[in-house]
Amino acid sequence: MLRLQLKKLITPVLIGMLALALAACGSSNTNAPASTGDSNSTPSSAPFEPVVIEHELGSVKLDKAPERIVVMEFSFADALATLGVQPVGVADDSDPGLIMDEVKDKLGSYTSVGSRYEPNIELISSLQPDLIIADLNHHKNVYEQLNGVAKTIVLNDHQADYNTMLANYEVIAKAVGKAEEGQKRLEEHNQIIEEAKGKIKNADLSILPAVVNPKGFFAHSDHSYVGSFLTSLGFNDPVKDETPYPQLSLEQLVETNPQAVFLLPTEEVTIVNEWEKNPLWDKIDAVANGKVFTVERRNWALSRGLIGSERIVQDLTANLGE
Amino acid sequence: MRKRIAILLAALLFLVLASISLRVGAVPVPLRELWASLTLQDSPASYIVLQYRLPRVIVAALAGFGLAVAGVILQSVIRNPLASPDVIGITKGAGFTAAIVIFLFPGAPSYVLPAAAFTGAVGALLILVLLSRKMTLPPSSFALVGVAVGAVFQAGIQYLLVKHPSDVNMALLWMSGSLWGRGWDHVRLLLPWIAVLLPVAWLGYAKLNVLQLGDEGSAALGLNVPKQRLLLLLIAIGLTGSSVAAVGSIGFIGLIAPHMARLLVGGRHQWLLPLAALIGADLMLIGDIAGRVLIIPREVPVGITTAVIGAPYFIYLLRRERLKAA
Repeated sequence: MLRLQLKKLITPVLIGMLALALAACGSSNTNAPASTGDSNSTPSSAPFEPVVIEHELGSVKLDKAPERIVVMEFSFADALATLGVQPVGVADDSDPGLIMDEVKDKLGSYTSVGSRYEPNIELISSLQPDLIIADLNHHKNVYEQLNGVAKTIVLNDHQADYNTMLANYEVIAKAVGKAEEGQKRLEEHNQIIEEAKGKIKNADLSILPAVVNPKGFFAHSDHSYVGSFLTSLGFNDPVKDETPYPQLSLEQLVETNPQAVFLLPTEEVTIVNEWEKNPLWDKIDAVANGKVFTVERRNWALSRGLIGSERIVQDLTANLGE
Repeated sequence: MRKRIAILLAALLFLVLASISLRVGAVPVPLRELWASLTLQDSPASYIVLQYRLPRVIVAALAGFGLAVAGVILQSVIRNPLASPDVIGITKGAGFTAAIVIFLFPGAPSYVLPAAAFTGAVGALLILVLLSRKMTLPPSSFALVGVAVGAVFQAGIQYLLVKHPSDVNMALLWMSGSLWGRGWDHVRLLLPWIAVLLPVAWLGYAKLNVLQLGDEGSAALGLNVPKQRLLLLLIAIGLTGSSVAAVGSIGFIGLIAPHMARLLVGGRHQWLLPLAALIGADLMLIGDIAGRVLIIPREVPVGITTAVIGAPYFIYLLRRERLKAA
C-alpha cells in the first residue's frame, strides 16, 4: 500500500527534477533582463547624446538618459537629489530615517531595496531599472547579476574621501545626462564652501568627528570621508591614523586631545554618557573649551555628498564661526 | 525498508523546498509564471527565477550536500560525535583567509575571496596533518589538535575584526554564511567538486563502516588506518573547502545533518551518507527560504536561520532518542 503511494509520488517528482535540470542547463546563457523597461515614460527634454561611462569594473554605453535608476548608497542618492533626478529604488537599510531630510524631500517616493550590504536583487529587478549605481566594495561580487538586470555603474564610495566623491559626482551627472547641470552645481558647491571658509575663525583647529554608540567611540581620521573633508577646509586631524575609523578608548582620546569634537551618535545613550562622569573627560581641550558638539550622523557620516557636505559646513560655521 | 522511506521522504522534501524556494521571496512569482520561466518561455519573472533564485537554490543544495557529507566523514573518521568541519578548525581556517582578503585587500577582484577561503581550508588541514604526525595520533587527540588549530585561526579572525571595526559588516555576513547574490558563477565553482567527491565518498562507505569499529579493529580487518583516514579526510576537505568558498563558513550544517541522519537510519554509511546529504540540503533550503521572507526587503543570513531552525529539531531528536533508550 505504502509502496504504491510512494510510486505515485515519485513520478511527478522525477518530472519536476528533469524540468529543473533542463532549466539549469539552458538558462545560464539567457542573460536578458526581465524587461526592456517601460516604453511609455516621457523622454527627457534635452536631447541625450550617447555616452560611454568608465567605472571601476569596466565601462557602459548609455544610449538614452536613464529614467529608472536604482542607487545602492546614500551618497549616490545625495548626488541624484542635487540633479533633480528621482531614483525608483534606494538601498537605505530599510530605514528611510537614515537619509537626511533635505535629500529625502528631493528623492520623493522610492522603493527601498533593503540593505546597502546585501540589497535585494529580486526587488531591484522587479523595479525594471535602466541604470544601477553600485558600490565597488559592497557589490563587486554581484556585478554580473546586477548587469543582468540593468546597465550598472560601479563607483568606489565605501572608501571614498572628499575628492573621490567629487569625481564620482561628475560620473553620475554624466550618466544621467546632466553633465552641465552637474558642473554648475559643483561650482555652486565650491562657492558655498569658500564662503564658509571665510566665516570660520581659527580654521587650523584640530577637530575630531566621531561616531558614538553604546559600545564605542569611532574616530573619523583624515582617511575617512568627513575627516578628509575637514582637512580640505584647513582643519587638523588629531588622530593621524592609517585606518579611516579607529576606535578610541577614553585614554587614547585624552592623548589625541582634539580642540573640538563633533559627536555623531547612533542612538540616544552612548558611551560618552559614561565618559562624561570620568574626571579624564574634562582633561580634553575640547571639553575644557566647551567645544563638544552633537550633530546628526546621517548628515555628517552617511550622506557623503554635496548636500551632506554643505550641511557639515553649516554645522561648522554655526558652532565655530562668528 | 524504513531506511529507504527516510531517504525518499528527505528527497521529496528537498524537491518541495526547492520549488517553494523558487516561488517565494521579495517578489512573489505566481505558479504559472514560475512554470513558464522554468520551461524557458518568456515571462516577466524569468530573470528572477532563472538568474537569481534557481542558481541560489542549486548552490544551497550543493553546499548542503558537501557540508553534511563532510560532517559524516569527519565524525566517523575521528569517531567523535562532536566532530564537524567547524570543530576541527577547517571552516575557521577558511574564515581566517577570507577575513584577510576582506580586511586587508578590499580592492581584490571578486574571485579572490572563494579562492582564499578554499586555500584556508586546505591550509588548516595541512597544519592538522603535520601536527598529528601523519595521522598516527589516536582520533581523540586528533580532534583536540583540530580544536587548537581552530582556536588559533579564530584568534586571527578576532584580531582582524577588532582592528577594522568599520568593515565588520561585510566580514560577519560572509562568516555567518550567506547565499545572497550567489549566481551561476558559484554553481560552476561548486558543482565539479560536489559531483566528483560525493560519489567518491559514497564508494568509501565500507571503509567508513569499518573505521567505526576502532583503530585496532580496523587494522585487524586489513585496513591501512592512517592512509585511509588521510584519504577520507582529503575528501572531507575538498567538500568543505569548496562549499565554504561558495557560501561562507556555515559550520552548523556539518554537525547537525549527520546526527539527524544517524538517528533516522543508524550508522551504516551506505544509508547514512545519502540521507545526511539530503538533510543538509533540506536544512539549507529551509534556512534560505526563511531568511529571504522574514524581513523583506532585507535578508537574514542562511547561517543564522539554519542554526535557529536546526537546533531545536536536533534537541528534539536527541530527547526522543534518550526517552526511547530509557
